[in-house]
Parts: sequence; structure tokens; C-alpha cells
Amino acid sequence: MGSRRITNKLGLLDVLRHASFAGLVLRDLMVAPGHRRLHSTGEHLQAVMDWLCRAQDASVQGGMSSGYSWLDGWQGPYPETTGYVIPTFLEFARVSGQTEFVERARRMADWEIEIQLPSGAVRGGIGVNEYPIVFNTGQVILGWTAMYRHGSDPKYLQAARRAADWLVSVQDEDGKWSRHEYNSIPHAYHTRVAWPMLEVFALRGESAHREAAVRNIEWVLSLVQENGWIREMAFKRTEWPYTHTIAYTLRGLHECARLLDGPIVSRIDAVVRRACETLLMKYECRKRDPRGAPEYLAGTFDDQWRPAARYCCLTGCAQLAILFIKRFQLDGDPRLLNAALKLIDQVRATQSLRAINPGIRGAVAGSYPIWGGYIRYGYPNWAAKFLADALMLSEQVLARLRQEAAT
Amino acid sequence: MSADFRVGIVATANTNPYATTMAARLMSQGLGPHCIILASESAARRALAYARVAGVRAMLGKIVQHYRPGALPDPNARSYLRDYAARHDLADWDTPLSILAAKNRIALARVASLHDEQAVACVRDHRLDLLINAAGVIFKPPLLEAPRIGMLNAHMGRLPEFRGMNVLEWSLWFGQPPGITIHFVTPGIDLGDILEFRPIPVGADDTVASLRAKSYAIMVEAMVDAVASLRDGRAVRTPQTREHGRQYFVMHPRLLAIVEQRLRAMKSRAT
Repeated sequence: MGSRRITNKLGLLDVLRHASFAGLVLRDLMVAPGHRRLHSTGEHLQAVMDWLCRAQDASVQGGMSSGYSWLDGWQGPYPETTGYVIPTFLEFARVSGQTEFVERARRMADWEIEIQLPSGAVRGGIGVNEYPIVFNTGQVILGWTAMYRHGSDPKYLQAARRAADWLVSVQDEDGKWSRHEYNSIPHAYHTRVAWPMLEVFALRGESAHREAAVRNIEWVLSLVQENGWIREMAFKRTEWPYTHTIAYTLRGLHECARLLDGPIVSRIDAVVRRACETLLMKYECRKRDPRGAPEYLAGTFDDQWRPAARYCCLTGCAQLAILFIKRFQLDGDPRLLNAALKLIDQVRATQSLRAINPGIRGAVAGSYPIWGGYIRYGYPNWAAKFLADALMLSEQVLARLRQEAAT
Repeated sequence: MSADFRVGIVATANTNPYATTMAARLMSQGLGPHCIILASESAARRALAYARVAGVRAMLGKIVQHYRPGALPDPNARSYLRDYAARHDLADWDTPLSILAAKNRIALARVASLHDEQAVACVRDHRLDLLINAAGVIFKPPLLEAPRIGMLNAHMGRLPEFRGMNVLEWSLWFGQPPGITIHFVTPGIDLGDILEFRPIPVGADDTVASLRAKSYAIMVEAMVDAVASLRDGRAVRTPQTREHGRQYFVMHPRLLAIVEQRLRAMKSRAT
């Protein structure tokens, strides 16, 4: 472990481990991603979905490998993200007609049931560990509810309900989750736990689930500062949040507003709208040439919404693109769709569709450049998942707009 | 009415038919210009800066475009400006600014950057009442505050609704008639007082590119009228605030394709 840390610090040594690594480093050094040739959306989508399949196949147990790393190759299965990849596979099967993705989604959902803890919770970390984690539980519920909606098999709803019951049982009185959580602190991005609880409520109607979700949202709304910043969005209190967890927080809020009613909806919407506007301006105004494309969005922001990193967190970009498109669908502000398309293009531009290494071909790295501070030299499965979601959603919205324009 | 109303033009390229047509038309109306301030950053420095932003390939393309005579962002704009110049008998509409200035005894100030003190000093030395923006850059307060009245800009969209970039396209996105707005330049993006809006007529064969091309001649005419109205004390300034509109950014090509589609549908409905 110590030697790996040293290698990670030295960084450049890793370039020598595989020819494809050196090629990627050279590419990130020499060619501005804005000027790399983009393939068709379909090709990028198929490539990223094929990579997700390889990540699933790399894990013999049925879950999905957390990703590919230059340091260790394919990683072990990751219960958390295996769960939320399920809706992505189901949606891809729907839009592409490739029904084998439904079978793959079912395998993942069944594996999640197999390893569900007796308490109903989902296991933390990579691999099959004994400890439960709140956030992971929420993400897997999203997979089970999607699987239930797809085929109405009650076992998935039953698993989701048990998980939601566990979440209610470990919640603090004020709505936060401070136990059984990453770094043992409560996180604002638990809005992404409140959201699946509302999904379970929508399917089963048990008020305890809705009440727990609302309590959590109220707690998160109490963290909103005057400038629209939300405290506790980071993994650790000693660091600024990645765009990944900022987007988690905002997406959770957005989806909760969609599933709730009453005055809380407008309060949530106001917070999300303001944060999106701030991020939109930060993104679009960050350019050297006023007529050119924006630069890559910084990977982290400080509590004054100032960029706090010199690299880009690619999964955060894909997640923000999804959020921006969803806000466009709600508010009709085309600037959000416009920025989303640019964000997606920038993430696509970092994909290598011709790499020989199957762990890299079609994958989305943690950071741009690859040696950036988020998942350095790694390709997490969630970055691939969110790019696939963003591509499918953007195509759906553009198709509708084209249809409307023609009539 | 002021007999000695002193007007200057700021530009960043010597070959700029928009600026030269503007200068020629101002001359034909007895409105100056008295001075042209030309920011002449070295070509190598500009090329390097562009390569940093856009890559070497794009930089080479830009160089080729730049050295095509009379290059404008859209080459069609040149034909509309030519027609405009012919209608108003403007002989020097497409000569380089430096030649136009020498021929007509207009003071030409070459400065390293429009943000330099040199540019501000030039405005003061020539006691300019008004500057006209033909540079397409974001200005800093010292230069904006140097002329007695301020700086005017022709904006390719309706203000206060559409600030920022590609506003012609964004107007069409919202089904609004395209047009140009003459407004004062302030440190905020397109937030200065509005003088006038002039629509761009949409013809049966128009595309987004042709509408953009058409707009240059309309911008020249509207600007000259605005300068005359300021000189004669007839101008009405309409203030705007940020809340009245939104700032827009460069439109993604896939949205631009939808705008083109909407434009076609709009025209077919009209016919």
C-alpha cells in the first residue's frame, strides 16, 4: 500500500507501465480536447456502454467493477455504483433495442440482493465488506426500483423497501445521516438518498419513507448560505467539494422536488435554479477567446463559488450536464441545454474510442488531464454511467426539439 | 447642435470592411471620424494566443482566413456591405483603415492594446466626444470614460432581452424578430443605455448566416444615425438593468441546426 502511494505521488513513472498510458499522457499534453475529432453520439454511447459491459464482466460475482486503474487494472465490484448503473442499462436497452442489457441489469440487481446485509443496508466500499453505508444504500435502491418498474418482479421492491426501512432507522432526528457514512460525517449529497426514499414511497406509499426524505431535505436546505452555496457537499470537511458531489447534491434536490408537493417544492427549486445559474456563468465565462468554447470546468469549487482546482472532474461535468438538461426541461432556459451540450462534448473529447487497452477504450477518466486530482490515472464506472445517461438524455431532448421545429 | 462633434473609431484589425464602411459613411454625413485607434498587437503574438486557445490547426485556418482580402466572420457580409456602399456612393468602403485614414487625413493611432494608457491618452489628445466600437473586445473603464459622451456599440440582437454572444441566433430560438441595437458600452456585458433598435428583414432565402451577413450594413446605417442624433441632441437614452434580460453564450452547433430548422418553418408558414 505504501509503495503504491509513492508510485501515485511520482505519477510519471506510471506512464511507463503500459504503452497506451504514455500515448494518453502525450495526448493530454499535446492536443487540446476541444480540437480532437468527435465521433457520432451513437459511437460514443456504444463505446461507453461496451466499456461498462467489460467492467461488469471483469467482476466474476455479478456486480460491476468500480473501474479501471493504471496502477492495478480492473478493480473489484462496487455495490454502490453497480446499483445506480442498473437504470442506465435499462434505458440503453430501451433506446438501442439491445435487449441483452436488460439481462445484464437483472444480474446486477440480483447480485445486490444476494449481498444485501440482513439489516437491509447496502455494503460499503469496493468488494463485499461487512459494514453498511447510507449513501450506497440509497444508490442501490435506485437500481432496484428501476428494475421493479421494468418487470414488476416484487423481489426488487421488497429489497428496496428493506433498504429504505434501514435508512429510516439510522437517520438522526434532525434529518441528516451522520452514522454509517463515508468519513463518518453527514453529507449534503444525501439528497441522493432522500430521492430513492421518495421513489420507494411512490411505489409503496409508506409515509415513514416520505417523512424521512423530507426531514433530510429540510436539513440540507438549512445548509444553504446567502450566496447559494450548500455546506457539507464535500467528501471531507477539510477539502472543497468536487463537481461530482456538488452535482449529486443538486440532482438529489431536483429529483426530490419532482416527487414532492407543497411549499417545499418551490424552496427546493429556488436553491437548485440559483446554483445552476451560478455554475452556468462560471462555466461559460471561463474562456480565453470570447467567441470560443469555454475551458473545462474546474474540478472543485470553494464556498464563494470560485474554482479551486486546475483539473476537471469529468464525471462532475457529465452529471451537471444531466442536471442542466433536466432544468431546461423544467424551466425552458435554453442556455442550460446549450451549456450541457458543450459539457458533454468536452467529456466525449477525452474518451479514446480506438485504444487497444480494453480498460481504456470507451472509458471516461476521473480527471482531465488524466493526472488530475480526482481518481488520478483511473476510469471510474460512474463517470461512464453519467456520460451514457447524459448522451441518452440529450439525444432524447434534441429529437423532441427537432420534431417541434419541423411542425 | 454641436458643429465640432468629434468621433473616433476603435478597431483591432486594419482590414475590417465594417469599420471602413462605417468611417466612409460617417465622412459622407459630415460626422468625422476624427481619429481611428487601431490596436495592432503583433501578428505572431496574436497567432500564439489563438493557438493556445484553439490549437495549431485552428490557428493556421485563421491565418488563411485573415489574409483573404476583406475577410469578415462571414464572407457574405462583404457583399451586403458592397451593396450598401454602392447605394451610398462610398468609394473607400473596403480599403485598409490605415490607407483610408491617410487618404482622408484622419488621425490614426496605433496602440499595442486597447486596454493601454496610450489608447486613453489618444482619446483625450483628440478631445473625442464619442467612440464607436468596431473592435469586438471587452473594454475596461478608463477607455470607456475617456470620451466626453461615451462609446457606442452595435449589438446583433434586441436589448435588453438578449445580451452576450450569438444573440441573433438566440432571438430566432425564441421566435423573436432579429435586429440590431445601438447602445452605450459600459463595463457590464451589453448593459449600457439603449439608443435604438433596428430590425433585420427576413427574406425567403435567408439563413442564420445570411441574416448575420445582412446585419453589418444595417449596423453601419443605424450607428451613423445614432451618432447624428447624439450630435444634434435628439438622442433618447433608455437605461436597462441586468434583470431585464439574460446573458447568452456561443450557441452549440446542434442548437444552431434547430434554429435553422425553425427559421425554415417560420418562412414556410409566412409564405
